[in-house]
Amino acid sequence: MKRKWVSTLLIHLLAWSLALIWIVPFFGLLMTSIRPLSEVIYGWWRFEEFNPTLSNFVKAWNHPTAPLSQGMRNSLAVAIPATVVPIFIASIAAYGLARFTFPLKNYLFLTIVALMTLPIQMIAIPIFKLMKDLRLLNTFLGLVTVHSAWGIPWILFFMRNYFTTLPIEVEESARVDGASDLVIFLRIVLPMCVPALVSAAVLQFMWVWSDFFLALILIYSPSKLLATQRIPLMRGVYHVDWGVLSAGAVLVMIVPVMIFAFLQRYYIKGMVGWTLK
Amino acid sequence: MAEVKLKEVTKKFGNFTAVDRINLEALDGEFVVLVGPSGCGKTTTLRMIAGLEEVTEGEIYIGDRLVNDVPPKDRDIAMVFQNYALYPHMDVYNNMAFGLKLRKVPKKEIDRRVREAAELLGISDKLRAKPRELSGGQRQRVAVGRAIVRDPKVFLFDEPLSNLDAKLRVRMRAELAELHQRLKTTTIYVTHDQVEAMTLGYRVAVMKDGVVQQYDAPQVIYDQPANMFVAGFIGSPPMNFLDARLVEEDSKVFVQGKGFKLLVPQDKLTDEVRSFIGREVVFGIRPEDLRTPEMVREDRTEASFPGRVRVREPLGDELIVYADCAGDEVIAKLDPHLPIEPGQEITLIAAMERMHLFDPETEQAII
Repeated sequence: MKRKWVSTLLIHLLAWSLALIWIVPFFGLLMTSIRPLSEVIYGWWRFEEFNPTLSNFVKAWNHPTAPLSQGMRNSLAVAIPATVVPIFIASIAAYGLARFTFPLKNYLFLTIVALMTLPIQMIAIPIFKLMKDLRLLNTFLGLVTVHSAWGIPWILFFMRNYFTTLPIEVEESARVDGASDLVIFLRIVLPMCVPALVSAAVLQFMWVWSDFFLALILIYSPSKLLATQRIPLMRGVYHVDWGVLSAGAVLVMIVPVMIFAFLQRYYIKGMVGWTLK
Repeated sequence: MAEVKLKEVTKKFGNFTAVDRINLEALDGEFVVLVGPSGCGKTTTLRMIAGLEEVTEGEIYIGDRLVNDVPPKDRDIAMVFQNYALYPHMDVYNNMAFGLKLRKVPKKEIDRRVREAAELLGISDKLRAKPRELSGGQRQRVAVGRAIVRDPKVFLFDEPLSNLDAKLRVRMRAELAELHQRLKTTTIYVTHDQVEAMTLGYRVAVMKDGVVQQYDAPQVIYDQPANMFVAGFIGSPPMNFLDARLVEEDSKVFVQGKGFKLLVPQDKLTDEVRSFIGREVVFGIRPEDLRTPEMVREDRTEASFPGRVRVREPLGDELIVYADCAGDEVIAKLDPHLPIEPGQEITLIAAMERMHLFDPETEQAII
């Protein structure tokens, strides 16, 4: 009885410390973003004076050299198509791999899975060259294409696994009812996969939204820079306004957090779905 | 409505033969049951009729049409699956209407048929419910409803009752029988449950290892099983099989085993039976064809043999006794009011007019 009490206490202590380690930097960022620079210059944890303000957010939003308002618009213009396109393509491909038989199917699937292990830095130069040859450098289309291509393997893997857990009788039943392959996919399978599709969409959107590396390689016109690219530009050469910088970071973060919060219900279902048959 | 005919149909998965040259015919309006243990090929056979599996060899006809290469949607069949296979994101109404919508049936007609089927199955108040809100029995009804709104030529059922609890299963069984009486649609029904097979089927095909062992009316299958497998599969508890030898003494023929020597009735002595005189046979007798002297008035010494009771299972309406007869286990279904206790010596009397003999090598019935 006593031992159980001790172990419960230890588990709680451990969990709380981990949570604190996780939350403290974020809390610091938030504190810095809502207070004037003079208050946080000696550390955000000092609360002798505390005058919360939104002025940092306004400044970041309308920054003279790198306005976040434009950056957020650009990021959305990239992240939305770079989420929808790979999910659609990968789902169709994954359905094919899950339900149809054709020569070399397993080798194809293995190749796709193997491609997932490739680090993105390794292909930076080839991608740059390819996009240059395609005249897609410094265009959103180019960035969307690369993000889509990069997202397809893992979404395909994820969706294929999900499809294999669906009861095949439902699809067979639709087939007997008179549905074609495409009708089965669009009207039976996809609606049954909403949780998985949402999970994949959330993860892919967050990845594209928070990406800095690919954007840095492919987009360089000041007006086209994405939100993540603008945060470092908010730092002056001689003077760093930590408040504006933090506010910018918080603003950029808000979008994926909101998406996650709204879709969390489906997201959890999707993640749990393919482990529980 | 149409008849269904299978000619020499074979299905192979790689090197494994799931269905081996079976011939089967369901007449127009007939209710045919395929029964057998799991892995016997009954579901594969049904799926080939549905068009969900390709036929490796042989021919399948629905009506007069060869359907080997016809896709499921053009075969004019409807299938009910074991796990119901309802569309989880559609309500009951749309589950039933889906097939009709795909066939571009006018909306009014769809509505009429769906409501009629719902009425027939007693789910009219559930039309707007999603499958997850329904009980197992209701889901089963929706699955059946989805099949009947299409008014197909043939119904295919794949173990439709095995996911239901025992009580509901009995009720749905009766409902399915009633439904068939009313619709008279040719039906092929797969089950592993012999009670379902016996109660529902006009004819029953008993399958094992991809081969139809016997295809006949339920009572014929019970009374005259073609081989030891059918004899052991149909009937509960299963038929007793005892190693024995046919011997002739004073122009009487006896079946003699380790602990028994029973007179074979004159009318059983066909030429084929006589050809086994002096040879090994397997003597088969159903538990319900065994009695005790208390249950039989006249003297039946030549049909009786002793045993010692090992276990008794009182079921209320009957008493199952497992007895040891000179090393053979014999199961008997007796009068529950008999004072029988484990360890007791009893005399069992076989109803020899219902005896069976099998060839121990081929396992085929001799009578």
